[in-house]
Amino acid sequence: MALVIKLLGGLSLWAGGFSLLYALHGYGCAVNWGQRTFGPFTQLGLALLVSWLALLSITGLFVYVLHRQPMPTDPMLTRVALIGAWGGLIGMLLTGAPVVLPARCL
Amino acid sequence: MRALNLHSDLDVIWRSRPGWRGVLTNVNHSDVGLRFMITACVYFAIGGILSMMIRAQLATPRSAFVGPEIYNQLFTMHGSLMMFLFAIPFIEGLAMFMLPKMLGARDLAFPRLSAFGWWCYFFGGLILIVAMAFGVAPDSGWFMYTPLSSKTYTPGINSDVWLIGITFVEISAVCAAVELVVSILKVRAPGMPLSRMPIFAWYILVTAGMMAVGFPPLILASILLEIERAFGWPFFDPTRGGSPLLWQHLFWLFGHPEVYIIFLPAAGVVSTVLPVMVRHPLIGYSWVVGSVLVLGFFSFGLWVHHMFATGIPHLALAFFSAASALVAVPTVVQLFAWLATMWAGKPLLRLPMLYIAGFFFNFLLGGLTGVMLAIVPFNWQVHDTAFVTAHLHYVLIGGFLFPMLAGLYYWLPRLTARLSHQILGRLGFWLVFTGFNATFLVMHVTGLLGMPRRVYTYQAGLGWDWPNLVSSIGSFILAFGFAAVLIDVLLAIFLGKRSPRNPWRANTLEWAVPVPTPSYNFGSLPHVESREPLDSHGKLAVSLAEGEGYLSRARDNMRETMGVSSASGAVSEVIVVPGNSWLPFLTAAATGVFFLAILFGFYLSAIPPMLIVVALVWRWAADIGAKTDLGPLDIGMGQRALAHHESPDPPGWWGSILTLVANATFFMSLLFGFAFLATVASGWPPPVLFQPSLIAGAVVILGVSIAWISEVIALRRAAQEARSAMFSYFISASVMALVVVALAIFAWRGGVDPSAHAYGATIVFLAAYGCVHGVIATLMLAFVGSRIASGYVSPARLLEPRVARHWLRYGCAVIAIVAVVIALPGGATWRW
Repeated sequence: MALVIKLLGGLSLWAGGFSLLYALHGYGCAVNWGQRTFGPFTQLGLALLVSWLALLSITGLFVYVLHRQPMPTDPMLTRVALIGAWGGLIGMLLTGAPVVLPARCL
Repeated sequence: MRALNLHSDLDVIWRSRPGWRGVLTNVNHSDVGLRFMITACVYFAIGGILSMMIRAQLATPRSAFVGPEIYNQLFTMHGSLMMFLFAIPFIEGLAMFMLPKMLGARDLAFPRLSAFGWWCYFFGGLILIVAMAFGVAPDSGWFMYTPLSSKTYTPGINSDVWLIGITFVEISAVCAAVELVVSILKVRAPGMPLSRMPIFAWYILVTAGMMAVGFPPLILASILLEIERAFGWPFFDPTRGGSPLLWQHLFWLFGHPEVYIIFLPAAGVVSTVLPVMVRHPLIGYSWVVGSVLVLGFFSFGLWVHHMFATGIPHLALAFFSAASALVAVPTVVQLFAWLATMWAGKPLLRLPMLYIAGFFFNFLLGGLTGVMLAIVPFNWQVHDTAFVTAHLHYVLIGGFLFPMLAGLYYWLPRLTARLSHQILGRLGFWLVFTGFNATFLVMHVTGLLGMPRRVYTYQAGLGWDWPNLVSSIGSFILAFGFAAVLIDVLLAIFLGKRSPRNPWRANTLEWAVPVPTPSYNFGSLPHVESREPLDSHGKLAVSLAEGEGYLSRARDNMRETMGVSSASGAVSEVIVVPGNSWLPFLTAAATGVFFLAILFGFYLSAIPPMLIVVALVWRWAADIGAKTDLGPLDIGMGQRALAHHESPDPPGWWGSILTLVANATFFMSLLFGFAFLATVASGWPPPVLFQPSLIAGAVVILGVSIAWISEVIALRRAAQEARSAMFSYFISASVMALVVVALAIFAWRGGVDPSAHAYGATIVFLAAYGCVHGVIATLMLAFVGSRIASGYVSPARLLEPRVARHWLRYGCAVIAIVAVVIALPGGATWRW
């Protein structure tokens, strides 16, 4: 199980995070969060931004932990796990980046 | 002499029966794999003929070759055949045939499951082909968009044929996914950890994992649409709270990963064949494996790029546009690994390498137009034009067919024990390459000139005349190319020279199998010491044939192969696989009768075949196992291992987990559908909300808790003394049966009408899903009770109780979630 988590953890975090952002966006638009403001942000924009940053932090933490705890018995699997984790982090950064765009429910 | 006796004994155990009984009962992975590939090629030929008819129709403006009704059937069947009945089954067949040999095994983990999958595929495809022969083929496009495919606009059985036939084929794909994942993880030669697996196995592992979670959304969508068509439950009807976009979401949740499900194995062929052709090991093995993993995940985040023109908010489009562009990165990592390998090696321009070169050219073009289509404004401009048709053919023919033809020529000696005629093969390549590019390169221009897809004719003078004519001529050249390949392969089979064991001097284990391939693959199984075992151990093939490896004697008429620890490759158990059996054929036939009854609207008549399927599955599970503890068995090479019945980590346990993963994806897709309709569809909130019954709800929650706890007690008893647990299992089964009744009452008393609004339809469907899983858990617990009674369970043989635990817990969780989800919206109006 530890191996599965290491190999698939980063990418699973991306998949979960991507789904969460998409669902949050759909829900927020459905309940008019895009119309309500909270300081300089709309409620929807803030929710998306905070979620994205939180997801980035969690995935970043996973990458950090993976670097600190490699699999000594199998360097190849360690490399694959790191590639997957970095893939998850970069994926989270780029696919979530549109949350900074202004148009949200158009 | 000893070696001859060994091979003779093994053949007696592993060979199929002679004559027609052999056809119906054969479960051998080589035969089933070949069947998949040959059947897929037949469907490919039919799909190809349909495409030539399409091109004949479009060659000139205002052509009268076929009318619009027939044309709609032609392009629908062409797409459906190529995607569902050719590409994926061909991959499954190749993997089933090749993997045990590459992994140093005698068979796959669940041979009967593969055979069942083939029969499902064969019968499902037959439904579509027969419908076409009778002029009632599906005609709403291979994606079956609603409302075009709904009852109002397609009142005949055309859409039903697609929904039933394709769902039947998808069952086959999910079976194959479970089979392949478990086989790769568990059924390998000892000494082969994940890091020493052939690269092709990594590709198939990821692909099969994607199939397990990619197909359930489409199975769900097909069931929902069939229910809407049959009973009027409005899942996709916007006038009653449904949404046609729900269909698109569920379809493309499957449909986009499917592109990668098709591409990845083809890339796996390239990563396998190319290093042999350039005489250099694959550079960047870890990076390739990592990028395949990343690609597998990212491919599930792209589906909305097929829906860019549906009015989805811009921010959501931006998520998917970014993901669609990002997915190019792991693809390019593989491309660079291949280029580096070629750079470091000395390429031999043999026939497989020619096809790989063709792949590079064509797939690069397909990939680039894919990135263009990922950009929303460009996508809007060319949406639904011939440009998209050209792009998808560059990806699918360029990215799949060319590598598969490379693989066909590379493995032809392994498949047929013969060598091909190189000159005719080369002519075939050049015809395919020229014809393909003549057909589809110019089609980009046709699309940019504004020609829509799926139109049966066009007016002259729009600038579409000459590019269509060129495409049509090109398609016929392409067809001649495929004909040349077919003739070349047939000539090789019937007149070709006998192939040596390893004609390419390759280093993977499939080339250590004798020629022609025996039913048991290896006389004895190897201990693997490197990623290229034939290179590190020059005489491995001979020593295995002489019985110097594992399992070098035929024991008690059992079909044995080695099971390993999935990560380390250390010896884990001896897997005893079942032999020839009628069960796969009979179960698939009964399933087919069930589907036909649904297709023709004889809903009550569908009940007996369904019960027969349940009985056959029971028999299937009861047909294996052991009544005594065998203890550690001698496996040769001075080692001993437990039989898989007694192992803590057997393939059946893994198979159960993976089936549940696929099942959970189905359930998650259903919950997604409910949430999607509630937030996006018009006509919500519904006029009547579910009114939960307190007593029935309490019985459901109490019941699942009791069933859960009683099973824990039962398994604990079974681990000490099996007989003492028998009644606990029957009690647990009885409680689950009561839970099913309570859930049904809970749903029924809720007072929603499934045909009035999509809310009611979804509520009832969710409850039905919960009830079905309650019934499955009930049957499994009762099965374990009966197995204990007949002596198949002991403290050392606990596989069946452990598998039943998975399904009980899943069933309990699903029922509890369903009860909460359906009660929540109407929770303010509880009643007794």
